[in-house]
Amino acid sequence: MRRAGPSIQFCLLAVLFLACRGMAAAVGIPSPPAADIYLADYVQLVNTGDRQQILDIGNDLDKRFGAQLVVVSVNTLDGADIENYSNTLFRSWGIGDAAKNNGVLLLIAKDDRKFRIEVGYGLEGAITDGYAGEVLDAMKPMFKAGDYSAGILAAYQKLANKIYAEYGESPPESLTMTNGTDKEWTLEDCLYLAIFIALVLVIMAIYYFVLSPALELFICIVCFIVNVLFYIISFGHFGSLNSKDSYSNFGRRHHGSGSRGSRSRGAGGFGGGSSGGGGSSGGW
Amino acid sequence: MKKGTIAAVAVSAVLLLGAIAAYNSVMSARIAIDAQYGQIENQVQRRADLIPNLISTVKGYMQHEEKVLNEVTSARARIVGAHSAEEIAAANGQLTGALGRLIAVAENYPSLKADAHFTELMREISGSENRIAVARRDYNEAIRNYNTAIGTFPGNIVARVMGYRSMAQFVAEESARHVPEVTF
Repeated sequence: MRRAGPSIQFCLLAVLFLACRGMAAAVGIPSPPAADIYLADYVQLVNTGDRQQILDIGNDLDKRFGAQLVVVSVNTLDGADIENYSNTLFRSWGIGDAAKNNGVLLLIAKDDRKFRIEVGYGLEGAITDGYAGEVLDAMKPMFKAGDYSAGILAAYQKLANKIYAEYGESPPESLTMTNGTDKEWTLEDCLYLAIFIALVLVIMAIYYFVLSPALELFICIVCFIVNVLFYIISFGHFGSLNSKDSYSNFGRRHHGSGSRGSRSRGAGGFGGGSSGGGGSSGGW
Repeated sequence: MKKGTIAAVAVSAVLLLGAIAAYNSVMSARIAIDAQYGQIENQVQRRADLIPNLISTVKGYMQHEEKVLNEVTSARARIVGAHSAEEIAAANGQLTGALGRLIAVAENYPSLKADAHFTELMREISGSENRIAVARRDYNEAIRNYNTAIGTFPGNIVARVMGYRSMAQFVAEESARHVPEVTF
C-alpha cells in the first residue's frame, strides 16, 4: 500500500494537468499573455517599432477608460469558425472592463488568411459592424502585399481613435496617431454635387439669355420644383453621413442586458469583459 | 438548555440554510434563462429593424426581383407580429431563408454590390446574425446550468417541491441553414 501511494498521487496530478490543458486546447485557444497584453503576437507579424506604438496606445486606453484593445495573431484556427473562435477567446481571456464591457479584439489567423474584429457590448455604438468591416477592408491590401505590421498598426490606431471619441477625449499628443477621420464624402458624393451645381447654372443661363417674361415666370416655377427634387434626391446619396450616425445609435439602443462571464476578473491583466458577437469578419 | 435541544436547533439551522441556498440557486438559474432569452429576442428584433433599410437600398437596383423582396418584407412582418417564442423562432428562420435568397440574387447585380450602403447593411445584418447565434449559445448554456441545478442534489429536492422540469435546449431549424438554389 505504501509504495502505491506516491504513484497514485502522480497519476492524479498527471490527469489534472492533462484535463486543464485539454480544456484550453478544446477550441485551440492560446493562453493569455502574462505581459504586454494588448499585443499577443504569437506569429510575429508586428515589428519592434510598431509593437511599441501599439503597446503605448493600448496602455493609455486601459489606464484611462479600462478599455482593452487587444491584437492576437495565431497561425491557424484548426477548422473552427472564426466567429466562434474569437468569441470564445474574447470571453475566456475576459477582454475589457467587466462592468463596461469595453473590449475589442483584432484576431488574425495567418495561415487561414482570415481576420476578425470582435467588439464588446459597451463599444458596439462606437465601433459598429459596418465600421469594423471598413477597417478590415483597409487592412486587406496591406496584408495581401505582406505588410502585416503596418496594416495592424493602422487598424489599431483607427480603432483606438474611435474609442477615444466614444469617451469624449482626444488621444495624447505623445502618441503618434494617423488622422483617424476616414473620408465620409466619397467620390460618388462629389460627383452628384457637381452635377447638381452644373444643372442649376444651366437653368440660370437659359433663364437669363433666352426667354420672354411670361415664359421666364413659368421656367422659374419649374426650376424651383426641380431644385427641390434634386435636393431631396442628393440627400439620399449624401446619406452616408446620416446613416453612420443612425447606425451608431443602433448599437446603443440594442445594447440590452449582456451575459457576463462567471468571473469578475479576466485572466491575468484582463478586466473580465464580455462580447455578444458584434464586429465583422474578413479575409485576404 | 438540554444538549439535545441545542443540537437539534443547530442541525435544523444548517438544514434551513442549505434549503435556502438550494432554492436561491435554482431560482437564479431560472431567471438567467429568461434574461438570455430576452437577449435573443433583442437581437432578432435588431436584425428585423435593419430590413426596411435594406429593402429600400436594394429596390432601386433590383426592380424586377419583386418576389424575393416581398418574401423578405413579409418574413420581417411576421417577426414584428410574432408573440410567442415558437412564432419568433419560426419567423426568424423564415427571414434567414429569405435573406439568403436575396443575397444569392444580388450576386447578379455588381452595381448593387459596389454600393456603400449595401455593403454596410450587409455587414450589420451578418453582425446581427452572429449576435443571434451567440445569444442562442448563451441561452443554451443557461438552460444547461438550470438543468444541472435541478438535476443534482440539493436542487432536485427544490425542483420536486416546486414542480420544475428540466427544459429542452434550443435547436435552430434545419431549414434556416439551407439556402436554396436560385432557379430562373
